[in-house]
Amino acid sequence: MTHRLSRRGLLAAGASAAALSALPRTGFAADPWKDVRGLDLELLIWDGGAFVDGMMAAVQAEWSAVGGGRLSFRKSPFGELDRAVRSANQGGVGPDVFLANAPNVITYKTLGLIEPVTDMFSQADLDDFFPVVREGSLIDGEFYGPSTNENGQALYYDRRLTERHGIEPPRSLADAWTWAQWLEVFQEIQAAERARRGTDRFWALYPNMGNTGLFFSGVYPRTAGAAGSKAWKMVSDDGMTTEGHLNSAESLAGLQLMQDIHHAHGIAPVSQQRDMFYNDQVAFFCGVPIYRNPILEARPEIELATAPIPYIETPVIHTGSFAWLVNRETAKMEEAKLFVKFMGSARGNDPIARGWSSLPIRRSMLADRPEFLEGPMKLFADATLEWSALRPKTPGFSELDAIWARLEADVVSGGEVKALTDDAVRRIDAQLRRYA
Amino acid sequence: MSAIEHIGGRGAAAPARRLPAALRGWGPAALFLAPALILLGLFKLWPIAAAVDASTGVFSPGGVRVGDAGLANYADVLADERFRQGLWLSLFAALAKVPVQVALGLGAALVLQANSRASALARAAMVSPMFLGLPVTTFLFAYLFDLNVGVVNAVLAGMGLPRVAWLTDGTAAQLLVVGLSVWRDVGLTMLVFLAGLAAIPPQTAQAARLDGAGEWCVLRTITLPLLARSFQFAVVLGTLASFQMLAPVLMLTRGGPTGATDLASFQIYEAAFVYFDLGRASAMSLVLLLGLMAVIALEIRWLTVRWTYE
Repeated sequence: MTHRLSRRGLLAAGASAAALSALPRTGFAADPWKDVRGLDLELLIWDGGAFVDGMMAAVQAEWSAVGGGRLSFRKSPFGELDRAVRSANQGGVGPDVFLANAPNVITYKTLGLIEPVTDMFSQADLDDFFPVVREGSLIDGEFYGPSTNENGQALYYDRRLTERHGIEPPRSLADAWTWAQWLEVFQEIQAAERARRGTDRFWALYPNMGNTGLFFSGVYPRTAGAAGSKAWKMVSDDGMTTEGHLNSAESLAGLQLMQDIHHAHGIAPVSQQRDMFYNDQVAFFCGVPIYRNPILEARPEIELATAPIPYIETPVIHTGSFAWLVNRETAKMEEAKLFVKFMGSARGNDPIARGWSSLPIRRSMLADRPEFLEGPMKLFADATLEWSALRPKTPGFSELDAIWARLEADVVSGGEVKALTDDAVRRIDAQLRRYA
Repeated sequence: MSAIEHIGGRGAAAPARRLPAALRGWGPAALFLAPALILLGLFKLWPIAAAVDASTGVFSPGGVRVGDAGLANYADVLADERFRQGLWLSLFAALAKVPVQVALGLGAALVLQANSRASALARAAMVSPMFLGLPVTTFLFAYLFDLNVGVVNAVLAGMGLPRVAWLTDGTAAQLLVVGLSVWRDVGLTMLVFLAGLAAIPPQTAQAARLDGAGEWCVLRTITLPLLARSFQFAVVLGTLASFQMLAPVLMLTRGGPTGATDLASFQIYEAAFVYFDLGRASAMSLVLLLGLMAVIALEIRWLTVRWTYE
């Protein structure tokens, strides 16, 4: 399922948001926070150091301003977050609210760990959310919680470099290039730059694989299929098998391309060092909005530009991030649900989305983020609206993601694609069967 | 008046009657052993018993026991070709790591036996990797050995040698993982041998030298045989560390490329903490434990101490 909103629609949404934002915050039909009792809440969050602490301090300030109580935090490294949520209630009642990896919402619902918050959000709220924010948390007609931000994906590059070689990459989704078109350009730029620099340590593309699982590399098999095809879906509709999907002919073609760009075409380095664009060792860098500031800090001299990411048959990007969820066992159910409602509001989401330097979760909030309405960052908003697809909705998402990460690494290492994929499918399905 | 003085004044039979019942017979031994036994029970035996119990359970993906599996987890694990391959890889890792680590540790200990300031500095340098966080050192290794931007390959290329895909070629990745583990643990092995060397009475070697023995002869016929206990200890420690090797695999290769570093310890971690299958993970742990015990029993048998300096 693709989600499309025309540019005119986006502008209309922005205009309505501007009108909404002009209203005083207390100007809604009724004070939405009148039931907040000021109870202390404990949150299980990702331990992101000062980066996350700063955002949570801003959230605390806004939450207190509407009458909310003190927020305390139980922190877990990102790699342990899934395990922390699953085991949160095993030693007694756990935290009141979870900040969890968004694709795992269906897992926690299946395991009976979270409480729906459908009654906290109107249909207008749901319609205002970006597609993946809404679809990811909608399960069996119930809404389980909003995300923290949206991302989008695009190729960052230095326009001076492409102009040097007389190449004009596409600037909008309407002009997006297929992989076949991009490959010619990648090879041309790489050859020319290597000759100019006198080194073979320069590449056309850093595709950002090897450290984020499905988020970046999962796009390869999906883009090889038509929208709605088995390759595009990756898993069956019930989320219980990848057989015939992940190892379909189209999907294998996508995975083969993922290998070929590193070996046969040789336009991407076999490396997990994400700083290659920052160090001027690659021409294009597949990234998300939060990379913009580090890039400009590392390379202030470049003329930063973006292009839509390549696609084979169907344009696809993955987006989404973390989701706010209510612990089903909490003794402070109403307060926890109100907190999650707050985090889904413009007021609650704004500090988090800005902290991530990312898109907010609501279309109506875009008007307050002019950097996403024009210039290179606009492409991230456009791609989120028009190209974004949920990561596979399956209760065994984290298991799928873990096995995928190994498949991805093995494919990029040069292993035999079909044999590796068939083995991965067998192992993924064995894990998915445990949720039956 | 102390109890001992009192006992001394009344003869041998009197004190037994005056001791509390808890201190008679095995009582004193039990009393003094109790703290160690309690700790052993709490932190060693109880977890093993819990693992045995978990290995017979069926666990939901939420980590909750939802049924009994009997011995089915063991049957699954033993029938799993991937796990059997992991056990072999763990054994090969031990066979590669232990001899190299023992040789390097012994060599370093012999070189540093002289108690000079320089040797103290060198000792500190050898031991320092143990004090660096393993995730940090592994992260550094990932940079150092990167195919394209790593320092090691830059040096190789500068020397006109081909670059090595340390992280994406099977054999190279195995060497890297074992190498990282040796680099980190060799300091401990060196300390074991240094302690063994310090305990050898110098008179033995001096007497041999008076009889005309050269340094090589002293090393071969006196020092090495008298280091037998140190060898035994170092080999067993190295073997244990080899079978438990996890962080380098977890952070560098994730079991890849194409299963080249898919050690049993990594598969156990995955089963327990990625797939939340505690029953299977416990069964795998116990199978690995039994294999490890067998290997260590063989090592102890082969490295029987034949000479002592007592």
